[in-house]
Amino acid sequence: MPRNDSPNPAAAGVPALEVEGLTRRFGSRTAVHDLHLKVEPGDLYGFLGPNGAGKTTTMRCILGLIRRDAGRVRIFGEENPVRQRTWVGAIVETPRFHDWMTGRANLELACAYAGQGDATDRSEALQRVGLADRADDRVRTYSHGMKQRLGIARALVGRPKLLLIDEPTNGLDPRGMREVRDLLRMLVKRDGLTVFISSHLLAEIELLCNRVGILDQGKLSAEGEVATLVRDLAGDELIELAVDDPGRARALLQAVEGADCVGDGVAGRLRVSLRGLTPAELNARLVGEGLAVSAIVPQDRRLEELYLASTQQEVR
Amino acid sequence: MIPRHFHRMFLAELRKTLLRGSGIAAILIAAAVGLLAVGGMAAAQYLGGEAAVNGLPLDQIMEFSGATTAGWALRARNFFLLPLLLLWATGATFAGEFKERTLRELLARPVPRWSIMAAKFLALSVLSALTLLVTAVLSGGLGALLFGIEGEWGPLALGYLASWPSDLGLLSMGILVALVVRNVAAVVVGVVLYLAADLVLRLLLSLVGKLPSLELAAEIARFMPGEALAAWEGYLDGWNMVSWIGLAGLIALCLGLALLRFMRMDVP
Repeated sequence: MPRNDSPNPAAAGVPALEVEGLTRRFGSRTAVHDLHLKVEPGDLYGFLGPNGAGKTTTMRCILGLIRRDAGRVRIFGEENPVRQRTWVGAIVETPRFHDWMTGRANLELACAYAGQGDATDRSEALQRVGLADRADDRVRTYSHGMKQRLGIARALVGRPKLLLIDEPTNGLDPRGMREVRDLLRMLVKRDGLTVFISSHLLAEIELLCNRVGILDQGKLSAEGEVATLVRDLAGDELIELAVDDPGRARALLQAVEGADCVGDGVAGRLRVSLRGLTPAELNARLVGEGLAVSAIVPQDRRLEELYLASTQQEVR
Repeated sequence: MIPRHFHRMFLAELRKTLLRGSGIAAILIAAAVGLLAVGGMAAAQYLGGEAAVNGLPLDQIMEFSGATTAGWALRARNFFLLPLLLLWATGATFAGEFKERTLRELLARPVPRWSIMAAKFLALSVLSALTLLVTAVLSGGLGALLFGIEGEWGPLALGYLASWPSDLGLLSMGILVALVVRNVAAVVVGVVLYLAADLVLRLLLSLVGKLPSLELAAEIARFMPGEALAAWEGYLDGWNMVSWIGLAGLIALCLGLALLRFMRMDVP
């Protein structure tokens, strides 16, 4: 059975994707500016950013669909753009098909151009995305979600080692979104793929990815493991505090060094940020002032906070 | 380097080209032209001495044979409709795929851009050859059955063969225009408008060329693209080398420019 017969690039120990100094301008507007990023083999990398941040432009540059004004792209160490694509499966924006052809015929076309994949591979790919029973229908009869899944099947043709996907769950219902997430996780875990996902859906990236890069106005504003980034960004500890007199507690907190009341939590609790002060120390101070503290609940920092902090200009 | 699987790319493109609306229409119209030529000849033969042109009965001024029928079919084919359909197919293959963003899916595959353009051009060339074959077989075959096999088949076969490179010239122009305007209708309209302007200009140059000391104008007209695209007409009134050189130059120029554009263009 024909397969991607190139040597397994993942074994070479080089980054799956390495972008150095990537710059692309459209007239006077710089869409991507001196972008550097590195994706290691086996990563599920989330490429985040608001609309217009330059995510899709970056993906197009990586795939050679549009020219770069500056910079280099290496995929498994390879710089030749044609050879690079031997190892890459991609979905850029909404996947497009010849909608007068069947799903299977569209896959055959992709296989012909990839030079890989036979009828068994195509059937497997269709089975994997749950389209086996509709494969011989014309694509124009497919729902948006089915087209998205066919796009994933097409990206998997030729057994790529690196999957570049733009908004993978776009247009899918909750069940479909979950199926795609499970499929991507399986591809990483079972087949050893590296997946690079561009998205503005924070919850999705948080659920899926181990590493993220946040792009803002064409520049990478943060990159690293999700947990580390969130912790580093925060530099504090967030708690929710349940007391018998929230109004008095709020006034007292203004005088306590290292504690800031940052808002209201659930059920009348106070949201408090601690810097250099432990929850136990705060508890002792409040009890010492005659307040009854009934609960101290540690709060998880979310990727959303990191995202908002990294894309401040966009938020304003 | 040519991709090892180029034959697969070509066959996939050919299948797509033949199954697309423009491809099916081109084949059907090619068949219709062949059948209409046979029907027209049969009608003319039936009317015989009753119908006349300039006072001469049809059966005296027309030769009824398979070769003549195929000759009329070729002229009808090359006159208007088939060139339009081939331009439509060219537009759909390049401008249409660009606009529908299906071209992007091909460019993301591990093949050089020039090979994608080559596969598409070859597929369109085969479509053109198939339309010629369909017209030739239907008009020549049925014509021979109805009117006999007499006639000059050799020059006619050359006429059909020569129509293919003429079609390639048209396809090359269509590809170049498609990569610039990126709109199917604009490809058809653009090339047709250019050819109309070319025709008017050639007529003007020929007229001017009749004036004393301005003979050069008529010579210039012979090198224009419209003249090159009519190279196939040589089977009727003698082959003209200038037209063939012009056709070769036209194909090389259009494909060269189209390739430069295709290699550098951003595909969203």
